[in-house]
Order: sequence, then C-alpha cells, then structure tokens
Amino acid sequence: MRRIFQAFGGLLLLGYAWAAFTGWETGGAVKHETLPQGARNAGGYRTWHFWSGGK
Amino acid sequence: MSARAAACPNCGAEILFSAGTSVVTICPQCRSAVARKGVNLEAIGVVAELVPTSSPFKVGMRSRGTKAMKPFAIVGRLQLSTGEGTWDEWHVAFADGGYAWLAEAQGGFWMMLPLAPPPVPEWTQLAPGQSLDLGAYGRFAVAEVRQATYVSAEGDLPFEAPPGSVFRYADLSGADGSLGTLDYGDDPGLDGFYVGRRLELEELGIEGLAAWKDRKVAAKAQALNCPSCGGALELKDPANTVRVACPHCGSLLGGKAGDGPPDKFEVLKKLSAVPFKPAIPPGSEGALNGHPYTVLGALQKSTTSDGATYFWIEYLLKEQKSEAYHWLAESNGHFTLLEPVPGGEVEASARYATYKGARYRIFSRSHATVSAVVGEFYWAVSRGEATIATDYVAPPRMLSSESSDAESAWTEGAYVPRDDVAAAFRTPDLPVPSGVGAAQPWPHEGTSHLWWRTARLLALAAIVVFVAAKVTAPKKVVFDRTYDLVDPVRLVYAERGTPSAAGGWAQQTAPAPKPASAPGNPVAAREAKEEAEAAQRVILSDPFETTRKANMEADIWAPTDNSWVDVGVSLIAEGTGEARSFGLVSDRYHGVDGGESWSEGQQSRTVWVSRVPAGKWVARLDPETERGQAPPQFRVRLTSGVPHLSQLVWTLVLLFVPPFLLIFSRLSWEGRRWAESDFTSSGGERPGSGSDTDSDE
Repeated sequence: MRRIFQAFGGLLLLGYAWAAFTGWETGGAVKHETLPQGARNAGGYRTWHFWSGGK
Repeated sequence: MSARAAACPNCGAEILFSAGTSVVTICPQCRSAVARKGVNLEAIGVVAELVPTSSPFKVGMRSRGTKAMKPFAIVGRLQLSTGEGTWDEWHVAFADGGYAWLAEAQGGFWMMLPLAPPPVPEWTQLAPGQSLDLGAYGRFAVAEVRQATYVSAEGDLPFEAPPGSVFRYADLSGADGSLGTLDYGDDPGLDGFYVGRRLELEELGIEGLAAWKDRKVAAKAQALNCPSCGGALELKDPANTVRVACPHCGSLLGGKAGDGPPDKFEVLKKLSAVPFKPAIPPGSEGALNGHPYTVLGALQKSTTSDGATYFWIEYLLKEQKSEAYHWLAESNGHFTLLEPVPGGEVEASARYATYKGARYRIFSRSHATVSAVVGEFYWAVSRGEATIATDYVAPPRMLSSESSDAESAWTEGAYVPRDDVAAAFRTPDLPVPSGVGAAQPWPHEGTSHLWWRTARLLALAAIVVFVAAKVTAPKKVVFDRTYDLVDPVRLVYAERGTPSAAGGWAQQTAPAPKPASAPGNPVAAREAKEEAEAAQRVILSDPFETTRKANMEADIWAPTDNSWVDVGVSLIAEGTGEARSFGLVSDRYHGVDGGESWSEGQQSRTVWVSRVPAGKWVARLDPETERGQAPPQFRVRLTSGVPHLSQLVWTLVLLFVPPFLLIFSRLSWEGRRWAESDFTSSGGERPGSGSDTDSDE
C-alpha cells in the first residue's frame, strides 16, 4: 500500500509540475474554431461582425 | 561446618549432624527425625518414604564454589506437599556456618537465603496479587498463599518440627526478579523470611551433575499406551508431566500415589470421546519468532457473560532450548504467544498495568473455567479449574494475569499472525480470524510514519515547483481595458479613451444585420430587433500579443451595486482563428432583511484560461446587464503566465489525503478492537459489559 501511495504521490507531483510549467488549467474556457469568413473579411475580426446573434 | 556423630535414640544406628545449622537429622535406618536439644537427642517422629522426584540434587553433593556462589554442601532434603504436588527443598550449609534452601521453581534453581523477618500481615491477611512493602527489602507481590505438609525428609534440617506438620507460607515475587518466601510455620506469626535469586545449574558449581543432564536428554520423549483405550501416546515432557488427557479417548491419566510425575499413568477419569479437537495437535513442533517449541497440550477455557458462553484455547508450549513453558492463546482466530513473568515486576491498577516501563490498558476480566483438556500437563489439571483472568493490552503486546484463591501468575507476550502459526506448526486449517484481536496490531502500525514522511517530502517538492514556476513565469499583463456605459438605453459599452466612448460608438460596432424573417411576423420582428441590438453591444478589441504558451488570468471588475454585468469573452487567435470563450461576471447585492444586513456576490472575479499559445489575439467582449441597473463601467484585464496557487493547494490536499485516511483507518481499527472489550479504551468499565468479577473485587 505504501508503494502505491508513493507512486500516486510521485505521479501527482509530476502532474502538478507539468501543469505549473505549461499553464494547464481545469475548465474556465471553451476552445473552438471561428468561422472562416471572419478571417477572410477585409477588416478581419475587428470590422466584420461574424458573431451576429452570438451564433 | 561442624559434624557430630551420635546414636539414634530410636534404633541405635549411627546418625550424623553434618552441619552447625543442623537441628534435626533423619536416621537412615529407621527414618526417625532426631532433634538435638542441648546435649540430648530426642526422636520427634518418623518421616514417610521419599516420593521420587525429578530433582537433580542428592544429599551429600558439594559445590566447589563459583563466581555467583560460595562453596556449599547439600546436607538435607525436605519434601513438602500441597496435595496437588510434591517438591523438594534442599538444605544447603555453607562453610562459614550459614545455611540456605535450594529449590527448583519456574524452570530454574533458586538459592533462598534467610534474612531478618520484616513486619508483614498475618498469613490469613495475605491474598495472591497483593503488593507488600517490605521496607529495605523492597516491594514484593504475593504470588502464592498456601499451606504444605511436611511429608518426608532425609539428612539434616535446620528447624525442629515433627513430620506431618503443616506449614503456612506465602511465595513472593520481587520487582528485581527475585523470589521471596514468608514462612509462617504452623502459627499466625512469621517464623522466617527468605529471599533468593535465580541461578543456572552451572552457576551452582555442583559436582556430579553431568549424568543428570544426560538423563534429561534421555527423558525428552517417552512412548506409552493409554490404559483406557490402548492408543499410542508419546509424552514430550515425561520428566515433568503430571497429567495426560488422551488425544484418542479423552480420558484423564495420572498417578494415583503421588502428585509428581508418576512412574505409571493410570486412568483418573474415563471418557469415551475426545472433548474437543485442538487445531494444533499436541506433539506438534514448530518455531515461532525464531524459538523452537513443542506443543504439549491444549486447554479449552470458557467464560459466561450475559448468558452467553465464550470459548478460547490455550496451548501449553515448551521452548525446546530453555525448556521453559510458554502459552499460545487463540481466541476468534487471533493468536498471542505468552511467557511467564515475575509478578513483582508488574504494577497493576484498576485501569492499567505496567511491566518493564510499558503501560498496558485493561481489556477484559472474566471468570475463566477449564472446559476441556487434551495433551500433557506439568500440573494436576482438571476440568472445572477456575481462575480470574485479566488481560491488559498495548498492541501488539499483551499482559495477562490469572489468579485463584491460592496463587496469582502473570504472563506477557505478543500477537502472532495466524499465518505464522499455521506455517510454524504446518496446520493450514487454523480458525480464520474474525474481528480485531485484543492485541492485534493495526496493519500500518510500523509504516504510517513513512506515509507522512512521503507526503511531507512530496509536499516540499510541490512547493519548490510552485516557487520555480513563479520565478520563471512571464506574469505579463497583455490586455487591460476599461469600458464605459455609453448608451444606458441599449446597454452599449465602449472602450474608454476611444472616439466611440465620446459618442461615436456606432463606428466601432458593426452594422446591424438585416432581419431574417418576414416583416409581417411580429414575433420574428421582435427577435430580429433584439438580435440586432445584441450585435451592436459586441466589442472587438485591438490586437494584443502573448509571447509564450502559458495560462491566462482573466479578471473583471465593475462597480456593481445591487446590479450585475456578465461579459462573454472570446479570445480569437488572429493567425489560426482558434478561439477560447469564457464568461466574466461582476455582481454584488446587499441589503437588510429582518434587521439583519446581508450581501452576496463579488465586484471582481477571476477566470483561468488553460494553455493559451503565443501569438496575436483579439478579444471579443459581449456585455450583458439589466436595463436601468447597468453599472457605469467595467474593466477587463488579461495576464499571461500566472502560477496558480490553488493548483498547489489542491496538490498538497491530495498528497495528504492518504495519510489522513490512515488516521480514520486507525480510529476504525481501535473502535472495532474495543467494541469487543469489557472496558472502554480509556480503561473505564463498559456499562452492561458483563464483566462478571465485580463481586470478587
């Protein structure tokens, strides 16, 4: 049992170190792709309101 | 020593008082006890024939002296009997005129020297287990209070008493391992006080005992047949065996003539069947804790509590090297190996007992009765033999006392796992343990500190990781904008300091999309209008840049006061079109309700965004709020690369969860242990525990 705990603790430490140095976070933001029309618009995202209606 | 020869006043044979301390000598011819009174001799009685015993000594043996003992001669032998056993005490005379008694007890030899009697209670006031303060001699525990009959003798004796006299005595156990004897003779007052210490045979320095050693070796096993059923018996301890319970028919065998090991075993009680079958058969041999043992016999004991009868087994073991008797107790599949300890080294109170500096808590106290026996025993065991058994525990160790009206004995030992016992005696069918044994150690007893040490080391490493991440993290504010409410009716915000904030906000926002539904549909028209207004609230920021792939801390602040603003944020990578969306809410409400002030919500909040790559980004903000309650402004700040303290906290919490679970495991274990006890873990008697000895205390 103690060996299992040591392995668990070691993996937890490695996971924390990876999260701390790579900036991994849980939740908070949804990742997705934007519509290609936005990028192709002459003014880019700033001038073409591709988000119309929030859809 | 001064020898004096004379003629027996009874038969005229030559008698010899061989030591100055000799008061009585036994005539070898007619067995008269002849006392010298001044210059006269008087026959004061006739002694019986000597009962054969297994003692190695003989009258006439001499010691050359050793470092432990000055030279002496054995000049007499006194044979006493309690009715349950006969034993020898040897009168030893020293060259300087002193004397002592040499006795065999507890598997060892004891030289008991006479000392000036201390003030002590009368014999009738003594009880086994009682503690006596003997002043300069120290504190002693009463181990045995009995009376014995002067049965026989040979050679010289240092006292004058007619054969057949009854002597009252109390054996004491000293705190330093010594033994004491209070000799009350045949009257209430104390006649003599003797204290001695244990000596090995070699320390006595007696010549001519090599043959005795050979005899003991030869007597290590003896084959015979049960006189009741004819079954083959092999005695493992024939030199000391007094009773045998036949493992074939259960009949109790022993000698009818004497109380010592008989020359011939006869049927004392005939049974037709073995009363119980011990899991470890008598005669088994095995090693426990590195010591080789022989199982001599097994006692089934029982106690009754609240109408229920509980049984347990006590195996009598003989340690093969030291020839000392030990006990292996089995209860509910839990085994404890116990060995006798001097009662004088135990201090017992109502709740605790202390032995060699260790404190044991009282666990159980009961009237124990021998229900059945199988095997061979060194005392005259019988069914129905009753004692008060008290167990004290300091897992894995146990300290036990058994006391009767006449004697008190202590044993101490440790828990032995069932599998160890099974392996030692090659008996795989031992009872399976149920519950937690009285002395069973908690399984993590020896390793729990290592769990804590591991957790501490890993926690320290996690803190080091956090500090290193904090030092190397960019922690760079890449976006910090404040937005003012520029159209309270349509709830439009614009970035502070831009033309739109000064009234030209419509330039920043995109034109409203065309309605998608037919103008004749009023519901669709309303939805289209709302959609258009929502689109006009959306704000697109100037591009900003992150230089390293890292997390991002997104903060919002707004002067919300019984109001709220919910900003939907999307970070859009200009290069890839990849987006990350999240919400930032500022809300704060407060008031007074029933005279109590209350508040809830927060004006500022933080959201953490995972692993935002390096590159150019645009922030799309979509604020929503309540018309008429909209806060005049809100501020959004994005910081790239911020070590997240809560991750460290969670890591530390998770690291210490298993050690804390061990604490609960320990508490649960002890709870199960003490649920089986007559007492609470603090030593208090459990209400309704059924401890059935109250009337005796």
